[in-house]
Amino acid sequence: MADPRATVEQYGDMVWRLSLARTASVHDAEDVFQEVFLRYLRHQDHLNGAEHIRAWLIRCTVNCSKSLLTAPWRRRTVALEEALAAPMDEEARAVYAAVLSLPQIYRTAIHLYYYEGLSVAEIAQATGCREGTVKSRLSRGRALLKGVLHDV
Amino acid sequence: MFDDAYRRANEALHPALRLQQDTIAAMERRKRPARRRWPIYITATAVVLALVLLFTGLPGLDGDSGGGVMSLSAYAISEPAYPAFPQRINADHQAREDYYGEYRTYREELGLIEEFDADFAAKVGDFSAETSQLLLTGVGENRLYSPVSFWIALAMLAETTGGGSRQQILEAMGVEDIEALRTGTQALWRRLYRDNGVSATRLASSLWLNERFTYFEEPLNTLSDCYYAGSYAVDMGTEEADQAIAAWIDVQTENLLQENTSGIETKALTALRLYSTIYYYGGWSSAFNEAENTEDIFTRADGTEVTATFMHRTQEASALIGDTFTAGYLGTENTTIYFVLPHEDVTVEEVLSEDALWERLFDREQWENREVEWSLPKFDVQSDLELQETMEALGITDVFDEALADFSPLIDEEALAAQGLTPPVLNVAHQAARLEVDEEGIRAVAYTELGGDTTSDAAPPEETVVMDLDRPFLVVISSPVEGVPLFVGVIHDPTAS
Repeated sequence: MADPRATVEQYGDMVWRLSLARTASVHDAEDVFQEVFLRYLRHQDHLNGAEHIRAWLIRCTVNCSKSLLTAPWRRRTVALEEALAAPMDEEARAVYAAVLSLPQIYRTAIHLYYYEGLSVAEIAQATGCREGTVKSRLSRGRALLKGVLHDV
Repeated sequence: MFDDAYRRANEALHPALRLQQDTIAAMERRKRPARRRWPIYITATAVVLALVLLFTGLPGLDGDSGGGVMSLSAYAISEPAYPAFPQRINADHQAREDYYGEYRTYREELGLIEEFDADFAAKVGDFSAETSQLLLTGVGENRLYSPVSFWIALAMLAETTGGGSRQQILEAMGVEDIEALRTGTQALWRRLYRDNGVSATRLASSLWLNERFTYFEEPLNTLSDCYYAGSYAVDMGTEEADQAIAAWIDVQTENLLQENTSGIETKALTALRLYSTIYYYGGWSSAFNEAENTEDIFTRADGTEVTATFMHRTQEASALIGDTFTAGYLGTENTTIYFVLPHEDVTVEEVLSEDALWERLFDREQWENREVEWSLPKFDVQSDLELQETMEALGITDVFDEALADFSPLIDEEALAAQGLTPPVLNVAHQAARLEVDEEGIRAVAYTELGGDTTSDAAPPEETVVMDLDRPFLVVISSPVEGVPLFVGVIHDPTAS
């Protein structure tokens, strides 16, 4: 059985960044983060190899952020301010804010494609969608971002 | 470049040290053997608070909604621990094998290997048939109904009532006593619950109490233990309380019923609100090809026509050809969706009133292998059904009667009386639902709300069966429990939004 500290250190950043992209809220992302690793503890004996673990964690993070208890009237600006409190250059900040402003389904596809480097097929498996759906979400996400940014 | 900038932004984001340490500590605790209530559970977000017992008894009390960001955990008396359904990852053959192995283990540990109690399934099935007929016939408008959500809500109502009020509910449900209802409904819940990341049948329940009244813990514990129900205490009659309830439902139903939840309103003397939600999603085993869609005419029951988008497919399948209807089915990852098309001179209501409809529909031996040509309209329909008349038609009347309603197992009625308040009476009983069908799959959501303040032998033709659903039809989402549908709908107009 893997050491919890080693597991969190190895995969924590990936789970955190996807949780934040999915929920656009630091508070909600914290709930998802902890839930994912606790579920991982129960399933780790069935996971073989780093790639399998990574795919499983991505899938689990997507699912955990679907069933989260949250208050829908929580203002998006609060989440953005918390997320953007981290030190980053102005261009990066603007791009990140633009992505967080997208609807969740587009944020997810954009994050998994551009940051995690997943293929369309891999994103389809992770999110339980058809590849055609992923393609259209990426296309739509890029189109929405173009309205805010100019070099997507 | 966008991707470089997005990468730089993410590289600057790390989970807080406190979060990492808390997570590691929680994982370490989980690794140590502990006494568990069930073999499988996930981390509960339960926050156990002492019930607020202060009782004012003043009508017209104006609650202070307070300010700041709300968290539902702040209201929680108890929150359930749902079973950890294994996640389906189709990365490769090994991943699929792993999933099936985990799924077998899950079923073993929840006692799902054994056959479901056929007698109890028959009771739920009879209830579903009777209530579907009562609720779905009448005015020619779209109506969608979840018998499972209504069953669970009534079972919870039975747990919170006593005497004649409880007895009427048990009789209406065809169950001999509360223990049998409790055991059977718990088993039903476990049999139906599914959430593997590809398809879902998610059930959730909650009981909302007035923080100014006095309640007994036993029914709350029973609801938590046996019905996976959470209990919450709020300042009834305030905007904060209404928003908290709406938020809970919105999360369970993925915001698909916000038109309904935005209208939730409690009063200062609201003693309880009870909710049972169901969320179903299934992708078609074989998706429709959007390129083959056509715009065609759908004829309503009154003869008027609308233009709808129809999806098409021809497949080797099975069909059920009766005297008054033709039925076909489409498969999803987890269940079967039946479509019942009345013959041209027959109404949907006439088909629904047939005694043998459900028996025939779920008896595969009556189906014939045929080539089936499908023309299925895409639709996204909603309905909001009042339940009081149906409950009264089933013989549930005492809970609506000020002189006879008995909520004594739940609420301290002596304390109410000492303050000049009457025992609660059920005065809210309805179910909101929504059903969406498109090329990829089918999604259905519903919530039931109950609240009380101090309720064909012609020989079949040997030819292709055409399921051209261009006139009012029935749709039934089945469940793993034979004879028990998750949802039943009458579609009179697929273009109504």
